[in-house]
Amino acid sequence: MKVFLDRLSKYFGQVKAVDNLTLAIEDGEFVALLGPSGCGKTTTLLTIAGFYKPTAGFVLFDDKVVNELPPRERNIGMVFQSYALYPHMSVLDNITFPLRLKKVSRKERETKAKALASLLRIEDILERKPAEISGGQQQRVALARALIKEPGLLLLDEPLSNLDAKLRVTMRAEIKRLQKDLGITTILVTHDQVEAMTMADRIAVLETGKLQQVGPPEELYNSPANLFVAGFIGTPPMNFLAATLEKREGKFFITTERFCLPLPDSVTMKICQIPTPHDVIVGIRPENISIGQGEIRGEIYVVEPLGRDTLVSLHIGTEIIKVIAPPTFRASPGEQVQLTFSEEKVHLFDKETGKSLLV
Amino acid sequence: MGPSVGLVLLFYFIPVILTFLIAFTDMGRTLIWRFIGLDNFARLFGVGSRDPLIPRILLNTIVYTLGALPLTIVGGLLIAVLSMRMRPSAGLFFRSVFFIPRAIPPVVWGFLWAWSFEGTRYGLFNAILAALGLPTVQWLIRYPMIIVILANGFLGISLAMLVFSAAIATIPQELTRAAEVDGASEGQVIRYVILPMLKWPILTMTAWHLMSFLNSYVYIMLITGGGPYYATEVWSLYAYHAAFTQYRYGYGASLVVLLVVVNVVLFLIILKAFGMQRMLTRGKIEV
Ligand SMILES: Nc1ncnc2c1ncn2[C@@H]1O[C@H](COP(=O)(O)OP(=O)(O)O)[C@@H](O)[C@H]1O
Ligand SMILES: [Mg+2]
Repeated sequence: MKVFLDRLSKYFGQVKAVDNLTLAIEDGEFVALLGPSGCGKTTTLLTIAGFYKPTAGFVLFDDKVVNELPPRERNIGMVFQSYALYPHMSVLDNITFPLRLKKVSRKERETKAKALASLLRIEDILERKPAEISGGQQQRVALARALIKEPGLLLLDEPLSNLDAKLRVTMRAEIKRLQKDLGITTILVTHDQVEAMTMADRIAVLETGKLQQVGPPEELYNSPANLFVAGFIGTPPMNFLAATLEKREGKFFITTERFCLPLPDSVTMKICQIPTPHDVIVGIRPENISIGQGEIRGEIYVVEPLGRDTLVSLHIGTEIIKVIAPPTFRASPGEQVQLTFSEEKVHLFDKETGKSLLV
Repeated sequence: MGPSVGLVLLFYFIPVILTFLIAFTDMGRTLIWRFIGLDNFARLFGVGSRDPLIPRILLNTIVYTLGALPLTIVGGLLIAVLSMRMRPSAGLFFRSVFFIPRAIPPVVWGFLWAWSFEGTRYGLFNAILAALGLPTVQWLIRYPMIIVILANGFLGISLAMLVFSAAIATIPQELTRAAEVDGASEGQVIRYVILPMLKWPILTMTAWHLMSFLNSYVYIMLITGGGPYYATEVWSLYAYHAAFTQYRYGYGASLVVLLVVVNVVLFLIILKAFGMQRMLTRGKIEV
């Protein structure tokens, strides 16, 4: 099923929970709605599900406006954050409930439930009550219940947030695989950028109800459209430094009190229209800085070995930046080091608007 | 601890024990008493000098309880479920209206019913009939049992409705939403999700009101006084009349003792049948 959100808004009194959101989701696509708590993700999902009427705009399923359709007629499956399993029903009854409402025969219901249960590896717990199974199992049951009626659209609201860290990594992969196997259009709501990056085909980043950027994970990572997206995606987050964009003898430089960095042609091409000097925020990811030699001087603040690599925090003047160094890197606090920024990986944002100057 | 134990003994156990003892005496208006063994109970069970009113009283009690109990539970559920699925403000108003019977003094509630169904043209319903040019009806003579069942049922409804609404309010919204996504209509959400989750409150209220209808007679006394001619005289009211209008304390006490025994037996049956013991001991709240 295709989903199209057309200038969708949902207000609660003065609060604009969803503000003029336009988003097209293709059939079979896995899209993540990503943003910090309170940015309107759940509201968007509940509006798509039909629990809220849009204040303005339209929800379209397969090119048909469904604004007035009640949730039960929308042919959707949904996994709630709390899983919302019916506590008085056995696991089997929970899973078959949607088919029971459709008056499917008991035999057919149970055949389908057993097939799904074995796919999700919960065949052994079908007779138990939800209170008698683990959180990970509850989540699989909730997934099975959402999938059994073969809905056109699957909605997942923070499905992994109640699981422990290890199980989360496992379920992440499993849900992704399941979605690909079934080919069902899926919208995942999450505040965890790693979850969104790892699972989704495309990510829509929201802040205070407004869409910030939408695109495949690599695109958001490599070409963030603004400071918010740049800072939200990636761990450890991108470093930001205030600087001035200058043009001397036909070449662009970014200068701060501490250093002056010439920009490569790949970057210059995109900014040649910009009048200089121009106040900018320079963004550079921790993995795009190397310690050893270079024009930029820094002072080691703290070194955190992580095994696979080492996270180094250092001062450039009064600002702190983070650098990912090789696992063999050693240094003591206070030590002076020299740094190089990979120039092609530098991001530039307008200081006033926060918008990227490179996209 | 010490004084409170004394108070419990004084005001709770001693009267109970005294009642049991008096049930085996012929104590009357003079308060002079004499043990007569099981004579009072023999009378009750129709052995020897039997009490001819007992079958009538028994039937009244059964009809009254079986009328008022379902009215209370079904009515309470209906109002709770409907009001909790409405807009919050409308629901609150609706619940407030049905709470009125509990909020006003019993005498006023009793009088309200007595006056509404008064047989002269000054009664509320007769005044309406008269205004419409229709003949008036002797409500309290023609339908006394229905009227006392309704009066007590509405009181029961206000408590049951309150308890059920509170229980519904604890059902997570995600559960009913999940049911809607799963394809349930409003009625199916109520039937498959809300009602099963009200199992314990329903059992508690059923037990509570069963006891309450068996034991309380205040509103019947206020509305019909048990009449006309014993038509609404239930067991507890009959015991009251025996003891306090006819001053047959011994006989009245034996009626009460039998009622207490019936209460205990019913309570045990309910415990057993609904596995309520399990609920009480485990303190289990299914959410
Ligand atoms: N039912 C509601 N009534 C009033 N305000 C709401 C309601 N639901 C959400 N909001 C507000 O809308 C905003 C977005 O909420 P929500 O969609 O739950 O955010 P998220 O799921 O991204 O954490 C928040 O400011 C929240 O307080
Ligand atoms: Mg949320």
